Amino acid sequence: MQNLQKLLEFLVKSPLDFVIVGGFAAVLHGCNQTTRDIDICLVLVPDKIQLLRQVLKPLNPKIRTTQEKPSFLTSPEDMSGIQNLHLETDLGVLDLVAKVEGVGDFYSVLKNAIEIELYGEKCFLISLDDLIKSKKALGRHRDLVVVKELEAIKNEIFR
Amino acid sequence: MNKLKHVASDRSWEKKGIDIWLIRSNLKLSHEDRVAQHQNTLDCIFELRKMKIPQHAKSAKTARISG
Repeated sequence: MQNLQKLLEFLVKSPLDFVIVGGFAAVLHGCNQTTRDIDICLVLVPDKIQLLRQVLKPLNPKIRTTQEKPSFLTSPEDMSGIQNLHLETDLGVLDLVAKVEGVGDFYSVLKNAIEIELYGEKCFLISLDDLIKSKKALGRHRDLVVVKELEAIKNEIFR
Repeated sequence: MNKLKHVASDRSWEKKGIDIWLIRSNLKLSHEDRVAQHQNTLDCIFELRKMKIPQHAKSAKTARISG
């Protein structure tokens, strides 16, 4: 059974440097939408991917985009040039992205990210404005529904 | 006057299909509580789906027999 709450706690207590993005970031900002995965943006270079493998090992991570669902601990062998990793773990679905649509790479997302405290740890959450930009750039119906809610949240915060 | 402006603003969000009261309620929660609330919703969805499984199994079986 998916437990994104535990997955998030696991991630924030890990040594990984990341920014929470996507639908779960919308939830953290106060949206009513439900999401079935956690999306994080980070630097996906070989040594960071190796660290990811070590950190995620207890969660039995698998690559969920292929039918065979190979273990992320051994696949892909070539770790260069990876832009996205779509994983299935024992605690739920975890998507890792090197770039956020409409915003840019990890450092561009981090520049405006807000620091929040979760489970006694500091972590980074994509800014409301950057999340709106990324959802608009994706442009799917479900993203545009989230955009409306995020704009309502922005209005509430600054009114 | 200010109160009237807020009422007009609330109505405009309602017209866009946004439950502004639910959002206000979310904004009062801590980040951890927002995550916990979301997890509760996911758990409810999971339980509802589990309850539907026997119905699907039954209809699939019926379909095979009749087919």
